[in-house]
Amino acid sequence: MHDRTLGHVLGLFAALFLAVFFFYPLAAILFRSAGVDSLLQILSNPYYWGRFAFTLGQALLSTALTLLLGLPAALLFGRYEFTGKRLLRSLFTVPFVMPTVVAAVGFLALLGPRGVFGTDLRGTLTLILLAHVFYNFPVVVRVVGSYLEATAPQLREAAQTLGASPWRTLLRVELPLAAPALAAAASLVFIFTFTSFGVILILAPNLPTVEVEIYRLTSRLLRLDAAAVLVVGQLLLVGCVSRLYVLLQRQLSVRMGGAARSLPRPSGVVRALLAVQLAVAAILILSPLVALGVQAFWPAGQAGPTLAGFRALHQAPLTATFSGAGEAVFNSLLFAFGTMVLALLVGFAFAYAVVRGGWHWLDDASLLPLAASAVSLGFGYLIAFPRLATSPWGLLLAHTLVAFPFVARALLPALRALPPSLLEAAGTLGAGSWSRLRRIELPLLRPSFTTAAAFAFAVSMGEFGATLVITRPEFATIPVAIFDRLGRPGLTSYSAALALSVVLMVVTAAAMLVIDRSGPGEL
Amino acid sequence: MTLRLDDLSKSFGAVSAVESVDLELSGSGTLALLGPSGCGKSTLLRLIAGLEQPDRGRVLFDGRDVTQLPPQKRDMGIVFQDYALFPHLNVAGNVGFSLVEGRRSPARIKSRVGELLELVGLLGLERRKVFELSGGQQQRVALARALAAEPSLLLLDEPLSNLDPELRGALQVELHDLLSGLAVRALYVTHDQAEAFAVAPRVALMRSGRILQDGPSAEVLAWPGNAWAARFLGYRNVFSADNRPVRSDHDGALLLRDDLIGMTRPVAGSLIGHISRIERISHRLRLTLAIADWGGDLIWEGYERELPAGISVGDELGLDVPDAAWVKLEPE
Repeated sequence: MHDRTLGHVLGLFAALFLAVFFFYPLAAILFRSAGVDSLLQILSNPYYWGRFAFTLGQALLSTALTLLLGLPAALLFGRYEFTGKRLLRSLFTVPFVMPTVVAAVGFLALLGPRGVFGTDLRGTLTLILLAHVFYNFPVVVRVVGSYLEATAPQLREAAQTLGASPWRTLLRVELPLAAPALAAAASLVFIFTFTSFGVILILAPNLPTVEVEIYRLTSRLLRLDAAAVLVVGQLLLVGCVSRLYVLLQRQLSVRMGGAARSLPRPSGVVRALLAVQLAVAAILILSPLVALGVQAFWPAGQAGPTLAGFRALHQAPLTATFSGAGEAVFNSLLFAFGTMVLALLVGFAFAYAVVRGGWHWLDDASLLPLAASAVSLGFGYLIAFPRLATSPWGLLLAHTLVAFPFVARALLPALRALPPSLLEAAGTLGAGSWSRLRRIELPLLRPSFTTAAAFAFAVSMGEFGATLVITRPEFATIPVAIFDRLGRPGLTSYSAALALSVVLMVVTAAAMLVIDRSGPGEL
Repeated sequence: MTLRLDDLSKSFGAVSAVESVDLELSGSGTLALLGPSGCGKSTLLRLIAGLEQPDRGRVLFDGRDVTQLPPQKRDMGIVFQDYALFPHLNVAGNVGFSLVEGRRSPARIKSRVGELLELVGLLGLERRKVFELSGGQQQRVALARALAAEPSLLLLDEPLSNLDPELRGALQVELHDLLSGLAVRALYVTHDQAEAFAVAPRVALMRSGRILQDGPSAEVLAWPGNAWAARFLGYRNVFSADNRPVRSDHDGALLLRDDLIGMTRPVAGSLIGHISRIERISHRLRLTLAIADWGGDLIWEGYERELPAGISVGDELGLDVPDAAWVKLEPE
């Protein structure tokens, strides 16, 4: 390749961004927790050990249940072609995009105190596990199923011609093949459920995870030193698992070249099995969202459908600390569009530096913000940039940090797939690196940019943890406003929370339609 | 071992991939199934292997109907076009895969794997990961794996098409020697006519789902069945029925085999050709000759030493065309 100046410039920019807005806030927390006294005090407190043990336990349990439910579906998904597969695949993108707050409110509408079934599971481990499985089961099907779909059909045929029966093929070929993909999916699910925040805060605040505990310590009790110790502990564990995920991902990319085979259609017992599996999956994904939709228009206990919840949306703020719903929608859109622009810039800088500048370490580094929890990041901003954090820019930068990894992941494969000969051809026709970027690379990357933009938009719309920590009433976004209303007594607040959740669900669903056209990239 | 295909048909939607194919293979030796891409030869192979179910017809192994049997119950090995090596197993694991299914003891598996790797020239690479091998080595592992359980029928689906031309040439010779040394019946699917003739003593030509012609390689090459077959096999002088340059009792198309034509200085009474173009194709020359008697062109290809010295464009040549050079073609 010829001159890499632009790659290096963008690499420098990306590295600086990561240093200032990611590493520095985390280092600030570390510095804050460095006091030996407070460290010993926290470490000798059995309460925090208990919370840590609970968090680990529920994460492991959630991961195990998710895998148990996801593996058979992934195997069937990778093995057969069937009617509705495309639709189901789109449905499985839901958890990548749907805000946790919407999912949590959905479960509240389904199995909460005012739930459609009249069963109240609020505050139980069961509800936490249900919500986690809902949220993560499609991740397993998507990651493992797609991998098997791409590699297994020809290998399954080969095994058959070598004398292996379908069961033996499952045992000797498909399961071993799926193992690394399954481990990758498991580590991803573990990270998501260990750092679970919105789901716990809304569905079972009496069973706080470490992440919820950090939030309580910083925002309610103002015990920053104790919070800092928890943040560091969580970072260490989650950091290790993320590293594992990256290593597994790399192993998965070592693939044998092979022509794609068309998949067979299922028949007999397998067909029935598949139908049951997928019905359960679809019900699990859809039921909280449907319950949410139904209750927003017809809350339990009401005689008939009503728009009361939506009418409350344009009411003026009741108190100084309670932002109006309309204002929250406005704020959310503003932050989402701002984040989109910034995250596209930063994410592109990362992807371009990796592919064209040879800054390979940025590839893994771009995943770091996903591993660090959002609440920790928000907390880090409060300590590192006390003035910036209270301005709208603090929130915007925090959102950008959470969103750009999705942008980088969406752009990386597309950028890698651009044939270098195109750029060389442009070079011989007199185009410098800036010209090549403008006239060749950007136009060809446009579909990926659309996906990336939709991702950034959706992530910002749904961001809850960091926003809740650093928000001020006047910057409240939809998720914060929903949480606010859930915390107030009375049917009116509940209806308003449901109505806001529906708004958020519809906006993210629109973003998802855009993403669906090209899939979530390398994630 | 005898393989018999009986009125075998398979279509995908509206596309008929294999149409009423009857074919019989017996004894040992290799048959090349030769045809352009999309002619249905890979589908035919997959029908024989049991990877596809036919819409109509039967597959018989030694007179036994195996049409309903799944692939693992049929006595055959297959080398896939993309090799389909198991990435989670090393070379020995891949080669010994079917031996594990056959419940052989670990010691026997080990010695058999060694034998096979020696056969394909990969001894010592047992512990290697398959994706670390070169394309040629992967191809050999795939072959050893297919042969491991000593199948009575070996199916090869374009086994060399993913390799570069130089390696392909070397492996063609190697495969020919290896296959003719084994007591196994092999069906070798390819779209490359040179490869088919290099590897197999017998060739079946396939077009649009049907077997067009089937026989010893030399016969198929010398007497192509119809005009399409003649062109596909690389002959350039094919004359359709309404455009024949010479009188003939045959009422179909005619092929003139330029490899049997002698070139001399123009002599009175011989057929005269006027050189309109000379192309050099590595060591050989290709001449385009305008034949005044015919009102048409003839293309001749051969070595420079077969021509009178010092010819150039515009010169005239005398053509010695024996009767055997004219081949009567069946209607398509």
